[in-house]
Amino acid sequence: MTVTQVDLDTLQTLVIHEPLAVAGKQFGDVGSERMKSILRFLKQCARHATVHDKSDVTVFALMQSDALVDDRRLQHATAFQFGVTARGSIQSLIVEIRADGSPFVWQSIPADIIAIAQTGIVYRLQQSVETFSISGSSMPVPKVIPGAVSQFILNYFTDLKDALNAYRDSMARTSKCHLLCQAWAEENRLWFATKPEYRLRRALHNYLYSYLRHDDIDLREEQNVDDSHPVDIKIVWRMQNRSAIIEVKWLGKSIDLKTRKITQTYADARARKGAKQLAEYLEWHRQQAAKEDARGYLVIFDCRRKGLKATDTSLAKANGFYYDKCEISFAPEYHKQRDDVEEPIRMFLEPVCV
Amino acid sequence: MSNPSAYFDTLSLGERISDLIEGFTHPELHLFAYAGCLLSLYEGQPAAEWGYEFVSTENGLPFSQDIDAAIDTGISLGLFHMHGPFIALTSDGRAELKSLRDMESYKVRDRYLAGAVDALLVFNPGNVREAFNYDSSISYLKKGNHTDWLLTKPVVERLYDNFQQLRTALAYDARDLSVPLVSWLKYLIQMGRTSL
Repeated sequence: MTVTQVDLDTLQTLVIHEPLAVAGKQFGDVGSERMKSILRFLKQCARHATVHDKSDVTVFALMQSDALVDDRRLQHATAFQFGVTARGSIQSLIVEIRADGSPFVWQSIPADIIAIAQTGIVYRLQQSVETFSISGSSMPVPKVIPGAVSQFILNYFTDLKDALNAYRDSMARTSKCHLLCQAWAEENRLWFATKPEYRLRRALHNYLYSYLRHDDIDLREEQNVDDSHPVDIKIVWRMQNRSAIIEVKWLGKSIDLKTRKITQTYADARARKGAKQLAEYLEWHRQQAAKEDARGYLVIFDCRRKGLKATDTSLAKANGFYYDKCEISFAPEYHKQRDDVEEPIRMFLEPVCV
Repeated sequence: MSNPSAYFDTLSLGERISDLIEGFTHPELHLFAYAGCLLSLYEGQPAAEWGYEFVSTENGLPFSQDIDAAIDTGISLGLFHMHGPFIALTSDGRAELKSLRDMESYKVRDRYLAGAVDALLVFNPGNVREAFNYDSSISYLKKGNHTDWLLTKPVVERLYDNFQQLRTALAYDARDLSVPLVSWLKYLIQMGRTSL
């Protein structure tokens, strides 16, 4: 759907829960500015630090100076230095943003200061849930990027391989992104639903769209089934005159749950077919656009399970994880023969096993 | 000679984006220039007064020939340089921008540009682009895989209506233009994704 007419109810609900709008409404433009100083801090912090699902982050800004806070700051807080104070993975962090925008890190925060902070704006990240408390009224922040620990402490990738590896480790392995969840036939993640290809492509595309800085990114649409030109995802960086061609394959079995009929089975030969298609396409592309530096990436979603039968609804861990460490052998090894093909990236998707 | 408005916008947006996310790409600059233009419409300004026009590319991105030319001018004058995979302002670029910002004529549009780039405090560039992809005029052109002018008269009339409703929903007069823009982008994303 595209947006032509405004759905007033939806817009109204959204604005009521938009922290920037609430801060502005509550405190005027100074409220928006204080809110933005918190967001600006989080953005800068993300250049040097990352968060995970156990990170506990509090950032607060008072709307007016407070003598008690000024006094306690001398005992409990020091100036925050970007790239020094919080570097790497954050476990716990409490920061105050002062009116001039300068951040101070609090080693601990006394209870009376917490109460004062609540009169202003408080950001919290706890167990991957982000909230803003504005003048004591708390509101969750809906995730624009599904599956992200934080909407604000977010790292961008400039290197595609780094982004693909991060997707494999942080999203694909445990099927954290909702599109990947929709590709499964059942909640134990033993079987894909019939024809999961487009959802898999789209899940990866959406991640790269959000996390990778790029010029253009194209996703092959569902109806395009021209396997001789396997451009599942194409990314272009115009300034460097380079592009990335991503071919997506999946291994494992898909099932129609209503009939319990296995609708597709792909073993490692499928990955080798993908590697061949990719090499052939790159060769074709090289002759068509010799001046463009195109690199090929084969991404394999691997949901192979050992001894899986159509009647199975659960699996022992040994069988479920049997292929976890089973790398695929490629012959020929295009990634070693050609300098425009990267080593294939296999993403093992964990099942849920008892 | 570059279009003066596009020249200023390129420098101002370039600096603001670079300060937040370490440099910019060509498409990002077009995208945020377009967002700035929308904010001027939000405040009731005529589209024609923005100073340059946009088309939608077949990839669903706003594009301005004047912005493209201004980036080229900036690079040739040494106001921009490559910063890793991105473009960023040089010290000469920042000095040039500072002198332009002192001119009264640019103060109003700089407020629109600030509001546009502040959306990056909440979104990343991909999300901003995604949101605009759900807007009916850009989406229509993208689906047909062709380019055409954005902000034609009927589109501007529709946007005035949309933004009036946004003003009503906000229920206060936000001087800080990141507030309406962030709300609008979130609305586009929510409505667009729901229908996928």
